[in-house]
Amino acid sequence: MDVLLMDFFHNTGYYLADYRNIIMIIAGMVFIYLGIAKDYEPLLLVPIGFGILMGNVPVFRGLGLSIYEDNSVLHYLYQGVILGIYPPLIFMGIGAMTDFSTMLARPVLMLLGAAAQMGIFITFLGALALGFLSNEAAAIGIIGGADGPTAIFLTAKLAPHLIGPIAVAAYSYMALVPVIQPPIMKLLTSRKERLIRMEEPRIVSKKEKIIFPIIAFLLCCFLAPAALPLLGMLFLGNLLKEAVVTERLAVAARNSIIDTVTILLGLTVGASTQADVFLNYDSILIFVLGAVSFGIATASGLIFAKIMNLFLKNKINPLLGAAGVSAVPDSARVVQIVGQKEDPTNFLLMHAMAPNVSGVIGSAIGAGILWSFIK
Amino acid sequence: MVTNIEKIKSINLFSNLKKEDMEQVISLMETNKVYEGEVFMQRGEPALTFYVVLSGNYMIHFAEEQSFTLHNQGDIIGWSSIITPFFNTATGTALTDGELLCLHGKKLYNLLKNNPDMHYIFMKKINKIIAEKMAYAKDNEKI
Amino acid sequence: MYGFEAINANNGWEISFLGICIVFTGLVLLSLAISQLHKILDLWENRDSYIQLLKDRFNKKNIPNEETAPDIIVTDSTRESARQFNILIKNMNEKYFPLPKLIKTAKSMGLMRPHFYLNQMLQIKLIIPDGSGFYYWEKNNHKKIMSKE
Repeated sequence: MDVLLMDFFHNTGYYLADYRNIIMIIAGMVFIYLGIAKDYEPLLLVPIGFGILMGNVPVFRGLGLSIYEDNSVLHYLYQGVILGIYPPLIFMGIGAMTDFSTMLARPVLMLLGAAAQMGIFITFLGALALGFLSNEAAAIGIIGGADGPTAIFLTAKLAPHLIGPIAVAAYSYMALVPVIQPPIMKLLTSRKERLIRMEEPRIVSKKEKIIFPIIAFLLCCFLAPAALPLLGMLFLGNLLKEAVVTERLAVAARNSIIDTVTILLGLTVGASTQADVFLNYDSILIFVLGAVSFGIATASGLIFAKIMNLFLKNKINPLLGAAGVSAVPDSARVVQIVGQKEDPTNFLLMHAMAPNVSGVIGSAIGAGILWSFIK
Repeated sequence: MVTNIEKIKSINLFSNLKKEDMEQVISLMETNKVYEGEVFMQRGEPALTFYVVLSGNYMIHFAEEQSFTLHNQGDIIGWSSIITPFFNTATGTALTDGELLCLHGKKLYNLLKNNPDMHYIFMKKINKIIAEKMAYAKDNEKI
Repeated sequence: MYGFEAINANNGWEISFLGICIVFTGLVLLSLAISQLHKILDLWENRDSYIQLLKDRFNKKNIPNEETAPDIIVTDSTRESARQFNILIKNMNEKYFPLPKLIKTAKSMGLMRPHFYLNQMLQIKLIIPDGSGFYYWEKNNHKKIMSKE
């Protein structure tokens, strides 16, 4: 009896826990708090936060409970991450939600989405310089794309052992867009620039919207075939949305499918942050590099917008450059908020969506390039 | 005066406009009759109206007495109304009775300003029409 | 390995440079394609009118002499006006004359409906622009028109 009781006690979390588990559980709670109380990306942070709690309940190895044990349920669910299944499904949902009209109306704004991807490659260099292997550095760099699914997809392909910290870093920074971006935006722009009003975009026809995903898919994937899983699903989702006759499929993609996959992805990514795997020096470096990457991406977009203004007759508001990071639609919203602080009658959201969605395409291309160079 | 919309659409200047842009332009239009010898636009005065020829023949003359004449539907007069500083640089005289499509210059300017695509199409056509006019003059010179 | 050594060893500079270039190329290509898309669609949707326009232009080019032929009926009053304008222009003593001056002179000489007849002179190619805003009297056409009297 005593032996059984002791055996049971030795298998409980209370016995197995060490300080690292406690730290991670607190981190999970912070995620849940930020999601619910602060409304920072709650759809992502709440499942991830709870996943962190699940992953950090100390379990006895061999019972098939840990996400890293082959026969555990969580491990099976985690295959969607490891095999790169969830990110393309999320991309399909994003495609089915996204209206590319503003981008189609003013394609020049797409360049801001491209400029913001510099963060990826500069961070890649930084990670290499700090001693990471090239595959790890590429996965870390992609955090600068500010695109969680893309970061997970690339990490799963190049450095699966880093999925936990990279995914958590990517989603954390995406959630913290309203905190990270405004100071950089204010630092790099003058008040006069922030007051610039954008011209009304032209009305885009339905035919253009239907043809766009097909052309965009072919153009981008012929150039960077490794981006095919992400961009293919993104543009499929968009085609389903725009084609109207496939509205049922579009509704499924942007509601039930993306919601289901987000729960599974968030939960398993969170659960993968087991203290013994997650709490190490590399993770801290990844978080630091992620923040740097995000900052560089934002700054690159802003500076490029200012450079474009040297040549454009109709100036663009350089704040739009910050929306080049592909945290859709958060960074566009931040642009709107920062712009409206200077002039409450200036509506930039619609315009900011153009670099924002082109940033999604840009980061997927960036991921494809890194994958094809480094695999 | 109500003008036949199909007739307006057939004018080269408006032929490439989208339906919604066309509707906006039409809302700024009215047609006016002009009579032989009538001076409908005076050099040096504020350019308030942009004219499109529907019928009739017109002479446009400048300060140094240079002039050109317009005889075709779709010819345009008064582009100073959509180009700063919005003062007529020429005088317009009707050589025969005719009909002009008149667009309120300032409203048209604002419409174009807020619609870069339409602005582009419009200015491109205006440039083309002016260039054709110049080419026509040059061709005649060679005859 | 750390620092520049690590970057060089992993072809970091090359990968980054090419990466940025390819991302830009991709989005620039896409942006160019999109910027032309609505024009191509417009061309396709209005193909009939564009074809008609081309046909019209082609037909015009094939009948170059038609423009020189007067497309208004030359009546006796037109010939009479031509005669009067000819005299007026001779009196102006300018090979290349300005139209406003011609009208002014015609008015002062009491010519009936100077604007209307000036237009006729232009239409039947008796008065021809010199390309720099001035006009000249086309004597050959004048002879032809008068010979049909």
